[in-house]
Amino acid sequence: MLVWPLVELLQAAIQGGGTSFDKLQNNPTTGLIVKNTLVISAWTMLIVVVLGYFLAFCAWRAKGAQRALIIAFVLLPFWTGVLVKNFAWTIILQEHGVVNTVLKSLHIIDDPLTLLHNRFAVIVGMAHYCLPYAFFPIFAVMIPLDPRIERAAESLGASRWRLARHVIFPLTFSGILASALLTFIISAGFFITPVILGSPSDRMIANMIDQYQSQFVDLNTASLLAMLVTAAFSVLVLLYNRVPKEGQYGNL
Amino acid sequence: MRKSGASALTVAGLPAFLAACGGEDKAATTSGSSTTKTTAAKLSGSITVASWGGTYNDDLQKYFGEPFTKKTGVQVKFVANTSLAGLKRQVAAGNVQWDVAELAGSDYAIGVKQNVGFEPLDFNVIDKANIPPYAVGDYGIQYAFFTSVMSWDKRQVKTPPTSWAEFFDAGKYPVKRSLYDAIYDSFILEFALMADGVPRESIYPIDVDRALKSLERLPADKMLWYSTNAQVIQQLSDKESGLGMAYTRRVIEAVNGGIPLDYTTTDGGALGDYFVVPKGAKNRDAAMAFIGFICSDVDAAAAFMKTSYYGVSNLKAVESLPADVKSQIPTSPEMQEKILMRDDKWWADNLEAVTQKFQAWQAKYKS
Repeated sequence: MLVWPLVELLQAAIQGGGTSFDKLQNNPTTGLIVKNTLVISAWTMLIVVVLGYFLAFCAWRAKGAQRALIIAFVLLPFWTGVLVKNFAWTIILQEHGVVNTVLKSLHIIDDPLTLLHNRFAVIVGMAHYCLPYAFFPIFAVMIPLDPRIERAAESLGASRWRLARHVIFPLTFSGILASALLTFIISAGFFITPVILGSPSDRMIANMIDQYQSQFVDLNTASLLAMLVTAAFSVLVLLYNRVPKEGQYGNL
Repeated sequence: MRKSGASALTVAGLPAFLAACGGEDKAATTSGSSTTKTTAAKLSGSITVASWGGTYNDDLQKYFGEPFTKKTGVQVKFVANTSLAGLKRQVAAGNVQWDVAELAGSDYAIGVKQNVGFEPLDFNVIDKANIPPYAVGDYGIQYAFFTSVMSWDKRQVKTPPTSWAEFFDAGKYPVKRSLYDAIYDSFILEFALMADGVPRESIYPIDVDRALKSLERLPADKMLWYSTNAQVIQQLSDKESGLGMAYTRRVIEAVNGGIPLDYTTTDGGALGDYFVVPKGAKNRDAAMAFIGFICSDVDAAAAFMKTSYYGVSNLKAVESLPADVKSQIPTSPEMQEKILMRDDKWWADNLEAVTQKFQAWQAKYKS
């Protein structure tokens, strides 16, 4: 079930072979789209890992109902369809949308800001989608941490900074790596968000694959591109599998 | 895993192969019989028609599907998400799910060019007397037509534009323009050429460089690109933009919903979808009969146009329409005088190169 489509994809990619490869090379937008994919994914990853780490830390420190509340808010977007989330952002970010209306009524701005149909909006939409994927790997490595290590470190004379830098951070580093890789891989495969929230210059690789298959009806080139992407990200997945598990890294 | 996949393919392929053989047999006998009545008597089962989905499919079902079922007893099931790529995959895999598919004009031309596998139309079953020559292909009838027009928000635009030159005149209207990004389905280059003074008859072959240069009469921050047809209406009604290129049906629906938009069909562009039968369709005979039905039945086509304002190439049905509807129908004689018909052949030959050139320009020309 998983292997057969890949075999067919590979077959089509090989059929296209050199011709398809030339097509991709001669397409004036290929370089731009690859760059877009990397840059947008990297920004999304960075934002959600920082945000995810902060939220996971808050959730870890919080007790009972508070912790449940934080997790509920992180999970909420997880259960909402990506289209719903993206269109919600168009309403929030558009020229006469919520953000601009509030800023205007507070006299912070005179002319509405352009918040929609640009890279900013794409990254916001993707970060919203990816946040749970960043939160949970980090939260998962935090849960087993014994809260008493804080007191232990303090009693040995560690400052708050040394505590964070030398105790908490190394113990949760594997979670950060895992969430960074996971969110980068997810981000790089985004298709609908650049269409809804972005401008034409924010197209990503999935949009290009779609264009080859649905508009040019060139299934071979679409397959080749898909195979190249799969190969590139397989490397990342291998890395992800090598992320040190608990206890392999940052022993005290 | 691989083995089970392969055997599943063979099993799925077998009935399609048998059906194809059977289809040829039946076709031979059908062409021998002279009256359509005997053909109708033989029809049975059901057909699956792939189209765009949504209210469009509901209309197709109501105005064409139901009367066809009443006439022939053949059940018609409409499904969404038609595409040439989907048809190509089904034919190549030998597992054809669709009996009839509606394809965009340039997709039809690409399909013919790539020889993806269309069944040649059976003109013993399909009476093309009502269909103009430009809409008759060997493998499909170009049947349903849509008009892309200039539209505007009446709250922001008091004196509407009367030409694309005015529409693209940055000095005349300070508002943003909603422009349709999906070049395979839009007239953005054609309209830009009209704005540059190119007469309708000389649009094709498109001078892409001139068209892109003409688009630059609008500063980039006045361009609001949209990629789905619902977006333009949302942008106009939310005052994100003041002017936009849009398909008429969308504007009409918005106006009916109380949004103060308007449009003019002057210098609009019309593109038309082909109805085709994929090679290896399970119920080929009924599929041909269905296409025959929509080409010849005047009442069904007229009722469809009165609701949707889409045009159909059944000209006898167009003739039967009241004047106010007829004036909106892209296939009517009066509209043919003032709109551009898309050259699908040119687009099929140039789509890939022009799309890439256009997108490279878009990426460069931004605010």
